[in-house]
Amino acid sequence: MTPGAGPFPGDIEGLIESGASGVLATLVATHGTTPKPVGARMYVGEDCSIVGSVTVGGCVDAEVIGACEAILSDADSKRLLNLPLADEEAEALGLGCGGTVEVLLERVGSETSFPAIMRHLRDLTMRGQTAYRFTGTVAGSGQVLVAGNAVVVETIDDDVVARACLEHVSGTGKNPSSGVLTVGSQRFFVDVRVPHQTLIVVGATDVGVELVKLASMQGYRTVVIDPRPRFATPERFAAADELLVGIPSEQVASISLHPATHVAIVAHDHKIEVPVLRVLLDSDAAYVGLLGGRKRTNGVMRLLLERGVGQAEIDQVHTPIGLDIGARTPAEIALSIMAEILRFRRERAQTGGKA
Amino acid sequence: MTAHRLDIVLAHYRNPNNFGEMEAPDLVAEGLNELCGDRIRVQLSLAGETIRDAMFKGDACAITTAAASLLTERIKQGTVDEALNYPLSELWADLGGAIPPARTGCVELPLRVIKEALAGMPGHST
Repeated sequence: MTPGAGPFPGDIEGLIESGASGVLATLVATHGTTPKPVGARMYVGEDCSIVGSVTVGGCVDAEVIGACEAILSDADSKRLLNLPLADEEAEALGLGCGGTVEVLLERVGSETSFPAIMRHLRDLTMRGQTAYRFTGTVAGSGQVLVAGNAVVVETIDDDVVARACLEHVSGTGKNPSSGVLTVGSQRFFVDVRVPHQTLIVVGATDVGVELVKLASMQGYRTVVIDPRPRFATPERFAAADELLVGIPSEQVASISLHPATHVAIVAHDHKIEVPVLRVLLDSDAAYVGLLGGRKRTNGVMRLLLERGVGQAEIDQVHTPIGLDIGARTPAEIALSIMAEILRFRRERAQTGGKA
Repeated sequence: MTAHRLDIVLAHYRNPNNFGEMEAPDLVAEGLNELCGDRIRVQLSLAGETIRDAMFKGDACAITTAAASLLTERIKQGTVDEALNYPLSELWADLGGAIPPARTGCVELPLRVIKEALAGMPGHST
C-alpha cells in the first residue's frame, strides 16, 4: 500500500468538482517495479485535455488515454485495466520497468456523483480530516466516503460494504495508505486523502510574497494574514488562496489550525508576533517558524514567558526560521523556509507524528 | 531598577486596563495605522450621554496599547463630549511625555478610533 496522497496533482480535483466531463484514471495496484505509486492519477477530458499521468508518460499512459476516450460515452461507467509496463520491444532493448499495473477508469461529469464527492473531500481535508473514498472497480459499482468514524456519503446501498469500509478505516494507523479492499467478491480501491497541507504566512512582507509563490507551486493552500490592507493585496499576493486582513491574532484564531497546518511568521514585528504566537502555541498547528535575528526573537520569547506561555511550548518554535543555506534575498529566505518545512514533514512522517 | 523614560508605557503594555471584549457594546469601531500595522478595536457602553464602560482589543505596539489603556480608563464615567474633545496633549503627558515625535500616530490611534465610534451617535458627528 502507498501512503495517502495530498491534493490531486494539477487541477484534477478542481476540474472534477466543477463538473468537467471526462474520465479519471487512477493507479490502484502495482506488481513489480513501477515508476509511480498507487494513487497516481490522470484526467482525460471530453475536450481532449490531459492532466497528470499514471506512469511517467509513454506507451502505457497512451493506452490508458485511449481506453478513457472509449468510455466517455457511458455515464457512471467504470473499467479496470491490467497493463504490463514494458512491451516486447522495450524488454528486448532492456528498457522496461518490468512491472504491471491496474488502472481504474471512472467516468466523471456533472451528471455523475463525482462533483459532490470531490466537494466533500475538499471540505474534509481543508478542515484537517483524513478522508477515505472507497470506489468499486467494476462498472455500475458505487462509492463510499468515510471520515472520522462515519460514512459521509455513499452511492452503494449495501450495509455489509459500508461496515467493511468503516472497519477498514478504524484499523488504519497514523499513516493510512491507498490500496485495495476486498469485501466478499467485490474489490474496492481505497483512495486516502490526507489533510490538505496549508501554509499560513503572517506578515505581508517581501519574504511573505516569495513564500506564497513557492508554497503554492508545491500544492499548499496558502493564507496570508496582515493588519494592513495596503500590503495584503491580491496584486502582491496573486498566488494566495486567502487574504485575511484584520487583527492578526484574531485572524489566526479564526482558521482551522490542524496538524497539516504550517505557519511562518515573517512580520518582523513583536506587536504581531507575540499575540499570534500565543494563539499558535495553544493549537494543533504542526510547524511554527519565526523570522528574525537571535537577539530580537529572544526578546519575543521573553515577552511570551511574561505572559504565561510555558518554556516547553516556546521551544517548539522554529527560530531562526529556515534551513541554514546562506539565504539573503527574500526569495532565498523563502526557499530556506519551505525546505525546512519539507524536512520537518518528512521527519514527522517517519517518526509517526513526533518530529 | 533604573527608571526608564518609557516606564509608564511599559507598565500599561504589560498589564493594560480594559483589555478585552464586552458582551453587548453600544458602539464599536476598529482602526489601524496603515503603514506600521497597529490595529485596535474599541467597544463602548453608554448610558445616555455618559460613557459607562470602554474596552479595547488588538495587536499593537507598546505605545498604542498604553495609550488605549490610559484613554479608556480616563473616558469611563465621563461624557461623550468630553471624550470627543479629549486633548491629545493630555494623553501624551499621561504617558510620561517621553514619546518620540515619530510615534505620534501610535499615541493618536486610540483617540481616533474612540472618536470614530462616537461619531455614530446622533448629534456627535466629527
